[in-house]
Amino acid sequence: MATTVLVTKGLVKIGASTGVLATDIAAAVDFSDAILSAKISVNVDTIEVPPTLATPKVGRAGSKKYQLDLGYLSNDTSLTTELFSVLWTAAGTPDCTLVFAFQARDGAVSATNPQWQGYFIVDSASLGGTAEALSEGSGSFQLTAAPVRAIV
Amino acid sequence: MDLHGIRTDLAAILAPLGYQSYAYLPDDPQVLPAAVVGVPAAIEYGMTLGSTVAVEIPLTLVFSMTSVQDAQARMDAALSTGVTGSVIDALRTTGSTYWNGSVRVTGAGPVGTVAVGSSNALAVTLTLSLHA
Repeated sequence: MATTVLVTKGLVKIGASTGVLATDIAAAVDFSDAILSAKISVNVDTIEVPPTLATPKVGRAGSKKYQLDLGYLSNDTSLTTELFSVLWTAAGTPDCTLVFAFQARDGAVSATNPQWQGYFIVDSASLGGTAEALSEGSGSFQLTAAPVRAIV
Repeated sequence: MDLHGIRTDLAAILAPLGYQSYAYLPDDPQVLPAAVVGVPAAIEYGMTLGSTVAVEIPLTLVFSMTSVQDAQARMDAALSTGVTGSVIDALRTTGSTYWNGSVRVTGAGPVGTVAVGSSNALAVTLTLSLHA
């Protein structure tokens, strides 16, 4: 089996959450110009089954945690077109939830260029940094459910 | 990202301060003071998913040494902040359609003399960092 190298490019769109994924994705804003890094991941807890005299110590899959990691250029000149402001505003809402779409390649969505979609909880937003250096923020945002892998 | 546009707008920032801009060291001391917008020292493509490019570009200011005191005074003003004739302030506060936000001046130096035609001139190189 052959694999191909993925050089991350693509896009990240983020927007308000109404709970209707397709509608929210359509209304989301493309923040790719501000995205320094983007990554989705899943981590599965392992539950250890205690051994007995007759059985060895073994593991079982536990709960899953889906996550969106973003690094971004952080700016506050606009409430709608700067990612920091969108995160900051969302963090002030009761559910702190935004919708996202992430593609790891340029080009149209397809079976070989899927778009990952879902909702994440905004638990951080940051602005500023070292003097005379770029204002950068980053966050590891937990998803509300497993992301959808859209291919159209 | 348009390097020619970046050079052109850097030259436009420096012109009101009395600097003629060149892509190379001039050979006529009569054109001094001059600014030499050099070739980029580094370009980082794909800084963001949206293809933001980080450019580091040297800018050398060259002053006539017909009067050493005048050359020194002119360079002092250029490298100072908050004074008339400050190149640092002009670069930091002037925007452009060819870059995003403001130019960062990350360093200045070395200071030395260069040959301009048959004369020596005082020169200092600024390192500029910008995002386009």
